[in-house]
Amino acid sequence: MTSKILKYSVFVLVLLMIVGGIYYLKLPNRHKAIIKTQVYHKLGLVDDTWNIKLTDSNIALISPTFVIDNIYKSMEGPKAMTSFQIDPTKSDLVWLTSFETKAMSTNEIDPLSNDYVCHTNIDFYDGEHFSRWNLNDRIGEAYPRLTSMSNGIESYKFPEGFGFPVFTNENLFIATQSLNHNIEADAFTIKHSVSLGVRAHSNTMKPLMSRTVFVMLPYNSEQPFQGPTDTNPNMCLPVDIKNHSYQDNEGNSLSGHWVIFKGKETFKYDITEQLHIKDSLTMHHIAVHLHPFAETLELRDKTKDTTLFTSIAENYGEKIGLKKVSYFSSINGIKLYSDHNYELVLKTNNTSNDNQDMMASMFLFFYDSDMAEKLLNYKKN
Amino acid sequence: MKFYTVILILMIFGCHHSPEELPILSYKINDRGDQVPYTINYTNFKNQDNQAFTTENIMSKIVVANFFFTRCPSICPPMRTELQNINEVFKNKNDFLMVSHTIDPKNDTVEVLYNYAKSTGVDSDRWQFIRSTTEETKKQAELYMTNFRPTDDETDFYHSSYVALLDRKQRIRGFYNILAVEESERLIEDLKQLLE
Repeated sequence: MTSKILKYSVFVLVLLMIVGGIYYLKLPNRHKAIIKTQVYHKLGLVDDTWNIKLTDSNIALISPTFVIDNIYKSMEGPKAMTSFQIDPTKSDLVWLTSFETKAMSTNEIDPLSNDYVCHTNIDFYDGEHFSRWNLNDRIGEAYPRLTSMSNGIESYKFPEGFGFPVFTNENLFIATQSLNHNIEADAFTIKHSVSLGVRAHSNTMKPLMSRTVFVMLPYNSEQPFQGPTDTNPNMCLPVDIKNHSYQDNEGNSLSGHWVIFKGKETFKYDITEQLHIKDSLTMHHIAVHLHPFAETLELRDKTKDTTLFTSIAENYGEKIGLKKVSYFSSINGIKLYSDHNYELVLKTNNTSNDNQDMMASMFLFFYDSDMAEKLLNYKKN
Repeated sequence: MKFYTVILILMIFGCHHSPEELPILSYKINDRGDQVPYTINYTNFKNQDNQAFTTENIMSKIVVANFFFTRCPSICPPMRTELQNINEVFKNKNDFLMVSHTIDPKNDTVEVLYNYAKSTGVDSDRWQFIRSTTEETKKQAELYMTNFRPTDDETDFYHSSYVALLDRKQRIRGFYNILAVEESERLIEDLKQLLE
């Protein structure tokens, strides 16, 4: 009887392993990376903890260990996320003024190439953030992304005197993803080190609010991974469509990620609706998120037919990756108007022999006049 | 199935260390610029059994609260599943309570809430589904630091996938996006701490 149970158990186990193995092998690279990272972390094979340290001028967050065992294009690599508070023991108002992400060795000391940084996103909980200041109508208005750093634009700071106000016990979220366009060697391990500049509250500081705009292109939702051809404008998706596809008011499927083919291309997208400007706004900072083979991303005022800012992406010549992506920062700022139309214009040049994935976002930071009014009377706790 | 869910959750979360003491998050900045702490109170709400739901129902309880509606096609079903899993973890704790506020009182009558609650398989003394007028529910959402509004075509509502955690003194001690695995983990850790 016991041997029969054992026999059936072994049979079921082997069957499960075969089915599981086939299922795993059929998964895309990014899903395999998620499973492998979970296994490495849950089994304690590599460090799965976040090391978070606060000083007077910044909060440093060092990620769990990522195992790089493959080529990982944008959005594919091992990743980690966590919520954090700058200092949960206090409810002091402070200002976030700068952002930096970099790759480092697992000894948490030696720097590594930033070729291993895909992106680092910082989000806030808009309910807690706006409700505390009785700005309830702003909850749910836009995705509460504070900012993003990415390959080629790994660090920046707001113009002097500007920042994003948060309470030290407010919930913030960090998600960071690794990248490896080039190294096909034995598996190796890395960490990401993220640093946010923190400044104590001062009445002279000016609040910024962020708004994300990005290029979206049409695709055929029935055949999302095929095309495009001369007769089929389908932009075909490099990633699964669940989290990266949208529908416009007419029900057309749009994607924020698409495939580019060998050669030069230009993509345009009207962002007036994404901007959702009710009154005029003054823009003081722009951070840009691009993928390799992007060359420039312009923010244009269509109404005035002028270019407000052009971000230039410098690609490496000898390997795939972005060396540098320029950003905009200005104390005086640029005005954007509710009765103007705006667009993003992306120029790409795929110099490789393979299809490549593409995306283009701008994180725009505007002077937040509503928050400034609330801050006028704020008394230190 | 529930047994395996609990085993899986315990395996995943069992070895995590205790979090630091949780901050008190229920305070707002008034017009004079002062931080004003407050507690969560209830008036004019009824539960799925058509009984009054008052502040007394949450006194001395550790509460997980969210906003939902029964016709919700998007985030509510996975939120419900996650809350069922969390209830399984703490089913032996008598001072644990979940409170779900409907944001669609027009359609979510007491009878609808009763059937919805029954379908969760969780006892009504552990999971209260409550309703009031839209105005009262909006006020309650403000206390919980969230809001809701109909979408442009009025077929759905914007509402948050966050839940709030209350301590025994009806103060907010945490917010969690329970559609993210890491955030559910954090909620379970924080619940363990408050239920100790």
